[in-house]
Amino acid sequence: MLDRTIAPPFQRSTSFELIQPEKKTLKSGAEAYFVLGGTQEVSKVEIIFPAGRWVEKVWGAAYFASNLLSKGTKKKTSFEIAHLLDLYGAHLEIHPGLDHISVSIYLLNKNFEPAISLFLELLTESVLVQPEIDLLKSIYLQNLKVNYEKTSFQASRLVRKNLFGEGHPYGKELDEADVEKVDRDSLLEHYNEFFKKATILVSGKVSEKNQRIIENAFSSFEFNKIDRIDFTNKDLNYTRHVVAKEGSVQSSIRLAKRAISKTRPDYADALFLNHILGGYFGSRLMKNIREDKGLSYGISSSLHSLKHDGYLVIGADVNNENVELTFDEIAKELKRVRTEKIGEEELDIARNHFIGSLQLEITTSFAHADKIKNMVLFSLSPQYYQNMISRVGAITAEELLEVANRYFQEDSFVEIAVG
Amino acid sequence: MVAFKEFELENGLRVIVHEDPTVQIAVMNILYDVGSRDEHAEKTGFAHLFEHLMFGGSQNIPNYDEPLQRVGGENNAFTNTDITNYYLTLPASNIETGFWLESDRMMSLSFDPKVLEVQRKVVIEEFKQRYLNQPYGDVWLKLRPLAYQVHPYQWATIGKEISHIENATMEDVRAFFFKHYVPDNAILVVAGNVTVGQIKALSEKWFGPIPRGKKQRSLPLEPPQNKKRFLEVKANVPANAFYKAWHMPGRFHEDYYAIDLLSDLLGRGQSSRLFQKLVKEKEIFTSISSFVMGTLDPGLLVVSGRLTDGIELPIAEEEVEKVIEELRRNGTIDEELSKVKNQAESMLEFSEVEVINRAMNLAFAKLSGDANLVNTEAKKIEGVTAVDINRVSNQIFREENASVLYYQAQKN
Repeated sequence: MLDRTIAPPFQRSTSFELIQPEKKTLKSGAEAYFVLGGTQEVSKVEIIFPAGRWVEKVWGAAYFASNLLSKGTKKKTSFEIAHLLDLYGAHLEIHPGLDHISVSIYLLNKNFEPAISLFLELLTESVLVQPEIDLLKSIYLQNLKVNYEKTSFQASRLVRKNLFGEGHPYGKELDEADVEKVDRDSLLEHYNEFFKKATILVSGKVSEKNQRIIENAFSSFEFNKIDRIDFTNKDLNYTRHVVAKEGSVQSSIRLAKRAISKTRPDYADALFLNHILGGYFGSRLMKNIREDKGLSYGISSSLHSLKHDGYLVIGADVNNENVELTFDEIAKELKRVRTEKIGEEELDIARNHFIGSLQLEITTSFAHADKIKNMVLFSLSPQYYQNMISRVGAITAEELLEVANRYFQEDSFVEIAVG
Repeated sequence: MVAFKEFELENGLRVIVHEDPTVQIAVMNILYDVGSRDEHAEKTGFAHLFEHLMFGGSQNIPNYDEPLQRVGGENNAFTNTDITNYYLTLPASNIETGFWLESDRMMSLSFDPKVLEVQRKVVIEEFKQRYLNQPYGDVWLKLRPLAYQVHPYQWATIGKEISHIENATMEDVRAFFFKHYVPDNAILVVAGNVTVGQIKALSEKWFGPIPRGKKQRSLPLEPPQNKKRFLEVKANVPANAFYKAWHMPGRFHEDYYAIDLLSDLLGRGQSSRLFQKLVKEKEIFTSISSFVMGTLDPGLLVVSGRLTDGIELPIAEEEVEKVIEELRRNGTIDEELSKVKNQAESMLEFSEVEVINRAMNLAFAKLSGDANLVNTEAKKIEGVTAVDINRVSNQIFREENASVLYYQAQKN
């Protein structure tokens, strides 16, 4: 008779085998990483430009310049571009970030060559015509109005604003006035200056022939580096901000603070403590706020790394009358990780889950390429993920208390509630 | 091409195995053939609430998540109008843990009152977060009862109203469980770094002893609509929004692919007719799209969009109708049809990159009776002709077959 009360035996694995990328330096200096794998006849090419908010001379230049790439070139109108992309079964993803702009194309291999040639045309021959700029601006403003109706959007916007200050590129969030000010000249300037240096990541099932096509297509791009610009961070006041929004049935709450990024030696310690606190379904915050008290559909805590800084955010949406209670409970949990040693059982589960979920992430060559991208953009060691797994496998409850005291003091957070 | 083997246990559990030795993981997907269409009209939202309860411990295992996390696994689930689907991924060497967990909760839940109490609250917060505290969040709560007057698709999966969730009792929970969560109402797919022999043995061992159920389903048919329906609502949103829905056949109907491509021609992406005409050229809308609801019972083809400031909703509807009329009258051309076919092919190819998606696709295809649909679908899409597009567009785009919702912005 089967005894269902006993769990089957299991194995613990600490291996993390990333696909070894093939790195090539192209003719004018850009580096291309080929991360090959998969059985479907598809590929992805991602181009990363050092062109994010960090280098903007006019706020919004990165967003608008990058989103206009597919809206007209010297030879093609936006309709022709959209039509051709669809005809090739290709699609674009454009992510204007705080440090970089990433532009990706997802391809069917049977249309690899024409799709890449179109992609290259978008990146190098865009004309940023006025009517397209106007249209994109009006759509942005419309979406902004819709988003302002969301408490979660408003709360999230307040996070970086409060951590870095509005004059700082990491603290800046676009508002109506910024969008109005965006003009063609400044977009052209941004495009002409920052879309020449690039890092290239190619993943999927990419034949030798298609690899050569990439090497030739991107041969004019230069080595990707961001020129150092120094911004000073004022010491900002960390207090509680409560913003009322009429008619809202819930409040979005956020707790945030500046934190360490991937490049620091104790990052794995902080990331793992964050995991225990609010990084997965079995975390302390999830168990307390959702599974025990039913205050929220979900709560999470996450660390965000930027090229020149980093931050930590805890967020949840709760009933208006439970805002105080939720803040108090989060503070309690922060204090608890700082003052009480984590028990063996909990540590064991969190550890296995942390390592397991990292392993489960790399099931496609696209996912491998994302990990490799991180290592390249943050100049991390090739052993980065393996080292992180070893560290999490070995860290003790005492060391976790130390890292909690270093980075997770409950009175060091900005507290935001919108609702 | 997704290769697979299938077999059925004596208790009626259908099992499909897809071997993929190129990954280090295994995935397990269990589809229960129950969704919000199986709910009682006065107890809506129950299938989804039930999904939450499935994580609250089973007969022999007090907590579902922890043992899985302990072996390095992840899990999640979703509920829609037709199915409730549970999936987990873990290192392939620990696959038996998945069998242990999933079979125990198919055997019996713990029926712990505290779990019900807490998850009721969690789901109510989810209801508010996703449907009430979002601009336009309640659109489907309004549009569904307009388009469906008889069929249970008239309520959203989250439920008609919060009180239905508040009133759920433990008796309801038990009855629902023993009716729907039985092996002959489920499809198990195991994929990844596993072998058919291994999965056969594990399936027999863990699921074999669970007794079969005897579920019958008789859902009311939605009668053909013969008069246009119209609803206007006012809400505190920044822009007017327009929704129009036409009845169409279900997911496994032979015309499904033609209709899906028809909706793509009209309103998928920036090269589509609606976008080009009404966003770019005439600036009537700031966004617009059309799509089909791939439901098992007859579904809906929907056009939805947000209007440019200063444009009235009746004008917007007229403009949408002009674009549709043009398509009905003149049909499509080969290049346009190839375009949407390539988009569809691309979507299929990319959906098979992840092993978990292959497993889900197999489970869903099996609902049609033939799991190999995952491999024949591309051919079916390829086979759609311009004549088909013309035929289905004339069948569907009739005013008496349409329900229209004007979502008026009320500025305060």
